[in-house]
Amino acid sequence: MSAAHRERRSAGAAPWWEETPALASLDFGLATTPRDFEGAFRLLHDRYVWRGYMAPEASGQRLGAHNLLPSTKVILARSGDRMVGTVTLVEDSCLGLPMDEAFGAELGRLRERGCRLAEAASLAVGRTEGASGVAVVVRLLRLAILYAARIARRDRLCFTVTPRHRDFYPRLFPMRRFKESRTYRRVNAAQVLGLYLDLRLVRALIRMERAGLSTGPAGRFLCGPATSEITTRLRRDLPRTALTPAEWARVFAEAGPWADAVPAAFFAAGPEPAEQRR
Amino acid sequence: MTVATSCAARRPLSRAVWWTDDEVSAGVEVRLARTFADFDAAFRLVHDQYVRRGFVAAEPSGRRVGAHALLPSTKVLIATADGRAAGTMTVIEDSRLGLPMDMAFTRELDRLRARERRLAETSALALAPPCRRQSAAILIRLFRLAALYLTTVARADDMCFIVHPRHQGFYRSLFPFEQFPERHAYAPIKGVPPSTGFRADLRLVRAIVRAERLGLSPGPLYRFMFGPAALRDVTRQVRRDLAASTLTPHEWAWLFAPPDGPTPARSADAIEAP
Repeated sequence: MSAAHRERRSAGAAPWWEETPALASLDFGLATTPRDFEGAFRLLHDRYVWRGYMAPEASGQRLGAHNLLPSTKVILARSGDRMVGTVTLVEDSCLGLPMDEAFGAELGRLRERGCRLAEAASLAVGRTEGASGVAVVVRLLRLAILYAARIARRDRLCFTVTPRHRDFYPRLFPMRRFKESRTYRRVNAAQVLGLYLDLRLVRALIRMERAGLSTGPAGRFLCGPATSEITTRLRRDLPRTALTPAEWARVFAEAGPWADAVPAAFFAAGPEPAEQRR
Repeated sequence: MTVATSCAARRPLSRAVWWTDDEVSAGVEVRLARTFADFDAAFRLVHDQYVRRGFVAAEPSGRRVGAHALLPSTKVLIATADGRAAGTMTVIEDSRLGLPMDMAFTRELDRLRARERRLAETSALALAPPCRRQSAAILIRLFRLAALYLTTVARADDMCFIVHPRHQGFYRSLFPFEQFPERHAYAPIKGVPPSTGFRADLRLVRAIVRAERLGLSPGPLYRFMFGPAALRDVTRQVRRDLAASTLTPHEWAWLFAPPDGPTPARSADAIEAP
């Protein structure tokens, strides 16, 4: 059964929100070591190749220029040393957002209204060791949403989805959709839809949950008692979530053609990664 | 807010009739006082109910009016049923005069002020005895108007009030108020045991309004109080009445030192003229 079939089958089912032993054995957090980043880029590459979103790279990794920004955070689900899922949180900057390529006009209108944007990109889930793939996706997105809402203090979290997930994500979280679907070069010119979530609403729901006013299981899952613990962990890991230039140089050098897109000055000579970390 | 009714606290809040629009609330209009007659009726209702409860001594004027009522930022809310005053509540924004409840809770209020929070107090709540069956419905609608006025127009951060110990349970079931830790006696009201100070964080009200706007509701009571329909209706009503919601100096002079002759009258045209 494909992941899409599994998602469709479980859409609307309560177990997404519930903790199961399989889910409890997974560790959700920010990437903090070169190994974390590499694992995430490899998982993303493998899943995207499997989906036909990209041709295989010699490096076996998928990463882009936005990964170089210190504000970009790679979020992971791990089972021991094995990477189970990943999503990347990209804050808006002079580089724009990856999805500007497809939805630049729509994002531009949000920017004109003073909205501070972020994008949840590069979502991939691999073998989940008995846990529901949807449950892993939902927990990865929860981390991205809480990071964007509470730490990066963004106003809207945007992302692209394939048309077959048109109704799936708005059922999870109260998202809105850009009107038209677009062709997106980054996923092999597939058709994608643009979704966005009002993060002010997320902050409002957190305040309500804290006061004991719940809007239901989805609201409690996203904004309920677990919020404080998750945010505390995100804040704790935050200082360690950017690779050093030397570490990036090595990752990009291994990634091959991608390195061409990176300014040479970024890789100015510095101490060895291990030395810098010390 | 010292409540001049006792029946509300003894009932469970599970009675949806209190917040649904039905025959109990039919004919009840809750709005800002906008004519001299409205203000006069509200001040008389507070006086009569407070005297009846033994909270204050009777005044020769038959009205209970405080210095805070002189401030243009103070708003008197009035509920009318069948053309008569059925309930009233006064909303007072913080100013150089402080708030009436500063007499009992100044330390707690000062701590909030030190955090640069904009305070307001709801006070002088009274419900007319013939409207007892509607009392909770009226009270909830007065509270809704006060909270939405302070949230959307006055842009205050906290709505504070004093609650008779007997009514604490009722208010706690109405909204997740925060309670000041200590009880204090409130000098202007006689014969009441030390009372509790309650605080509604209006950022929470804004959060509920935002969630309700997108169809996420914590329940029917909150949809009634802060849902899109409530926000639209209350906002429209407040915008309509706001310009007329303050007494003129002439009216004030008449209230504080009534001369012989008829009570001041004003037409809507006179108030709304530039």
